[in-house]
Amino acid sequence: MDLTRRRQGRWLAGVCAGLAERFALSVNAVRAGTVVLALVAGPPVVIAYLATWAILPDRDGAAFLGRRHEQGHALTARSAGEAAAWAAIVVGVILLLAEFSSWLPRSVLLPGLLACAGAAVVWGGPLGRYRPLRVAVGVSLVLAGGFATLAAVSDLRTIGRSAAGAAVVVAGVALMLGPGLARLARSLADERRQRILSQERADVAAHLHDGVLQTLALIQKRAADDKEVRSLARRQERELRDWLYAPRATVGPDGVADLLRRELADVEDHYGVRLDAVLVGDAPLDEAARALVAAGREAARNAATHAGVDSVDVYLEVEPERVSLYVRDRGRGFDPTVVPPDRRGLADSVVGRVRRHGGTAEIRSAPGEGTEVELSVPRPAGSA
Amino acid sequence: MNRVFVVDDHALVRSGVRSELGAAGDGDDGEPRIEVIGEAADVDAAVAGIADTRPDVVLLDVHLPGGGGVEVIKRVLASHPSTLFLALSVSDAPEDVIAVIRAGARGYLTKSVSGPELAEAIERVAAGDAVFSPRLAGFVLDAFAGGLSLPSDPELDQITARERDVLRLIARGYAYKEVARRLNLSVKTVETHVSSVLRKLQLSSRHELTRWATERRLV
Repeated sequence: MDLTRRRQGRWLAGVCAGLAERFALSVNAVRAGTVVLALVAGPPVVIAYLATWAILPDRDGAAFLGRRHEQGHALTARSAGEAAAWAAIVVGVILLLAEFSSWLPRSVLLPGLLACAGAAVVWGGPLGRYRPLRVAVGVSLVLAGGFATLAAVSDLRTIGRSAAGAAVVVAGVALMLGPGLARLARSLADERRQRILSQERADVAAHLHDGVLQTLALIQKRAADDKEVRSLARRQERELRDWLYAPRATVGPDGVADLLRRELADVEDHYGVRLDAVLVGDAPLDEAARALVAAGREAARNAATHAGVDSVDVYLEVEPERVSLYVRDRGRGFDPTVVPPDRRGLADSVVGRVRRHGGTAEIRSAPGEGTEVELSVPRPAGSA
Repeated sequence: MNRVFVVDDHALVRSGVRSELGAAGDGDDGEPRIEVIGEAADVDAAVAGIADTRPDVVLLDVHLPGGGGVEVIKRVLASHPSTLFLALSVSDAPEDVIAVIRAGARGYLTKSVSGPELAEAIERVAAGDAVFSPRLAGFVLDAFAGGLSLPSDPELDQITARERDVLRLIARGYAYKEVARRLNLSVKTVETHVSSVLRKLQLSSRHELTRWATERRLV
């Protein structure tokens, strides 16, 4: 088992509880030991505790330092308050220790805390829209703290001299290595771009190979079979279109639009007729919507088998109060008053199905003028 | 007779269009209804060719090397503002379609359109009307769906109930003539409604329109 901090049953940061669990010791014994050690040895133990807290991941795999990133922008008021509370405790403990031991003179401690506060301002939480302001404030605090600390340990002139020396060294190194580093960074970025590009190209190639090339091969093999070729080509077209212009499903795979698309694709594949569908809007599937799609599928199948046409128009529109579906062909048509016995399917599986769910169904047709089936079901109240 | 210029980067498509339009036959005056007077395969050739031949209608592919159909429309309209464009594309991507319409195309057809329908559409555009395929009608209905809470220009940002009726029938696969019969309107009135929708589509500053188109592209 890995060493982790415990979030449950913790007193402070869960470090002791984590240690106890890892080494199968009593939690209270570890806590007592830690406190005694801290009193005897002083600051190093406190620092070790804080460092452990910062570095060790807790059970959820998030170290304190990494937690903010995990949470993204969701720095809630609660976690901000928590952070402030912890900061107050830490500062208090450090001040207390400084008061009673001589491990840090206050002249160094206060600037140090100042610098820490600056770092917290810069790194704590997502930057958001206060970014420039926060960075400026944070960096000034850190610089001020740093200078004050240096000033406390030696006199300013020495600092100035050594700072100048350091600056010269840094400048020299930058001059020597700078161009090389810049070039390296650029070429790394280039390489990354190239890799992404070639990955995309490989994806496209794979797709073309799996789909389009296979289909073309099949078409050549079955060139004599008109209907089969048309249906192969249509299926491939549909797949390629989905891949290229994948319509963003507003409701997702469980929406009316998506179900209808699948059903129509199925009819196309079985009957070799092109179904030109225009879909406007989307809605979650309920019983009525399911019945509507099933009836629409039946209507499309009817058109494909009886109308004697190559293509059928399908239109779905989702409105706040209803979902409507139209299936129209320009084929043979028939006289709706004298429905032949073999066309009973239209009455039962299309009209009946929709009406049972409180919807309306109308069939307009005349010999030689094609057929249009108009279906509509109400949407549950409040779905607007 | 209508003189047509075909812009498409696929030679196969150009020759297909040429033969389908040639089969459209002769008009009442005994001349062929439609004559293809020029072709181009990319943006520069198209701009130059259109300026040379001054066609009645330009049949324009949406995707072209050198900037696409939108670029052709912009450059040609800058020098010859009265040129009429009809977009003909395999693209289903709403933002492609909306982009050519907003650039100034008078209509949009998918390449699955039949020869006679294409010929009729060309004549319609040449007469100054707009041409909506079922798909374009669907896009418009989708984009203008629902009321806009704060239309910045109510005249341009919304379509009327009547226009919605007309678009719905077109989306259902009705030809203008059939729409007219179904709604008890004259064909001329249907054309007026469609042209009015086209104008709104082109001029509306409704930002939802652009956002809608790009959203639909997000996978």
